Amino acid sequence: MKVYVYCPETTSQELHDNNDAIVALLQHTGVITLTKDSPAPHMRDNASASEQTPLDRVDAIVIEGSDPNPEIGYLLAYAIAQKKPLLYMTLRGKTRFNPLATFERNHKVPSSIVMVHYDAKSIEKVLLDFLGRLDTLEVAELPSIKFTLRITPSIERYLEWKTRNTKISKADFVRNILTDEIIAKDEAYKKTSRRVRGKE
Amino acid sequence: MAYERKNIILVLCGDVPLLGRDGVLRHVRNPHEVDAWFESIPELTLVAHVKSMFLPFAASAGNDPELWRSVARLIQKQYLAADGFVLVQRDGAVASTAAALSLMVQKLTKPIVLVGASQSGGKTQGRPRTKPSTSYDLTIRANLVNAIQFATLDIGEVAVLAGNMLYRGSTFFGMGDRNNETVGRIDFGITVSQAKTKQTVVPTLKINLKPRVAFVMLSPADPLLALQGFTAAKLDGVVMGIPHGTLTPMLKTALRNAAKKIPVAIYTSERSVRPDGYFVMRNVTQHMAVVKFMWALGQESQFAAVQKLLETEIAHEFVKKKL
Repeated sequence: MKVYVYCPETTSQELHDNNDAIVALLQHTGVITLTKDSPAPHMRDNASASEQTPLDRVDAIVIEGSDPNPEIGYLLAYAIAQKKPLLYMTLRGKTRFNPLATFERNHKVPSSIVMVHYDAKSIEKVLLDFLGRLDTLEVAELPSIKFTLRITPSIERYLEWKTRNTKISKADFVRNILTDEIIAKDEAYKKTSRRVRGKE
Repeated sequence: MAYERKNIILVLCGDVPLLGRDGVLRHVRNPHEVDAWFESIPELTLVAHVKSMFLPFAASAGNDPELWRSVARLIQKQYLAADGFVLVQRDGAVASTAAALSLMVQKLTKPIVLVGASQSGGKTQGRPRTKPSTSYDLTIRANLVNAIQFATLDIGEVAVLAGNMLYRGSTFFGMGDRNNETVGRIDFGITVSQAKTKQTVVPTLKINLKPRVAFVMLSPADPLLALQGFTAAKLDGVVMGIPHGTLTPMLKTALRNAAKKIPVAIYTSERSVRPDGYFVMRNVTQHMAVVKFMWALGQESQFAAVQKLLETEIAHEFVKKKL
């Protein structure tokens, strides 16, 4: 699982320490943690001249939003547009700024956007709760990541034979096989996934 | 909000297919439909204060000089109130519109970001769908979010958003072309390579142009045939693409004779080709060649003055790579 963490630059030592703690805690759970300054090199390279952005490739976004910053609005908008889970954390007592205040007067905020207050004691729980809820949040489990795979002529013949006269495309057929026959039956992966999401 | 959101003008140009939150594809054809559509993508307002506007032109995938003029006038009129502009138009028209605005709106200190609104592909193309959003539809919405965000930046540029990249509009070859010149990218956030502008000056409009200019690539098999066809048509000018090494003496004579009837511009990469009754254009994209010829013919009437405009870089339109 890949999570992008956005922590605006701050002059507050307390917030600076919390930002480091957020990244460290996520990394400790086994999540690939990406920040603006240190994304995974392969994701940055692959993002050049592509239809997809690095943000498209992450599973969730975490924002430490105690200090208001215009980029927060952009990330929220992007997460809502892409139905991407987003955790918006603010330090308890630090700010009353709610970037969605105007939005939620007239529109329903998707449940994939989670807004919580935290303090030094609850920071870990907040993060683990969010990771644990990823299964149940309103997210778009849609084929949005481009993956180019060259296949052999014999594989192509099989896919053609299998999907001919059906309403299923070759790509959907392969996705269904991966999801239903491989991922669903991979116990080792399921165990790792539960651990990462704090369910074990 | 505890920070000041910028003011962005979102302009829908013509008959644009857009997806509502209910997953149904609609063609937005009048201002009332724009408001309803805008309500279905409220996340745009998290990025900036967005005012949506509509220019009622017929669906067009090609050059539309009247649309360009209308957009230029709208931008000038709204310039002081807005921090940036986003134009949504059919994919096929974006390159020409970007080229035209680069020339027509000069001394730009704010961004004008063009976004193509593709038809959703597949079997339901052009017809309303009742299925929920596909990943492609999510991409359209994300593109608009990114375009609005780019439009909040302090750059003075006409640019085209394509995928995760922002390209200079005056040298935009087309979607997916490797020769496009990058001015920004979406990484984990948005970065631009342009210097920030500091002052706001209302841009200068130079919107006179000759609208009926055609482009033809000369065929090595029968180069004169195309010339005969276009000189007979009622055009303001012709841009002729010359494949490498085909400007023979006979062809030069034919071009000179044609240029007596109608302005002819040769679009070539050959350094040896010189104006000779016909104009010469090089180092620009094909879209820019046609648009700049239209524009130059509208700005000047004397041959030397027109040729000088074609040789002068107006809006960073000269391509750095060899064409």
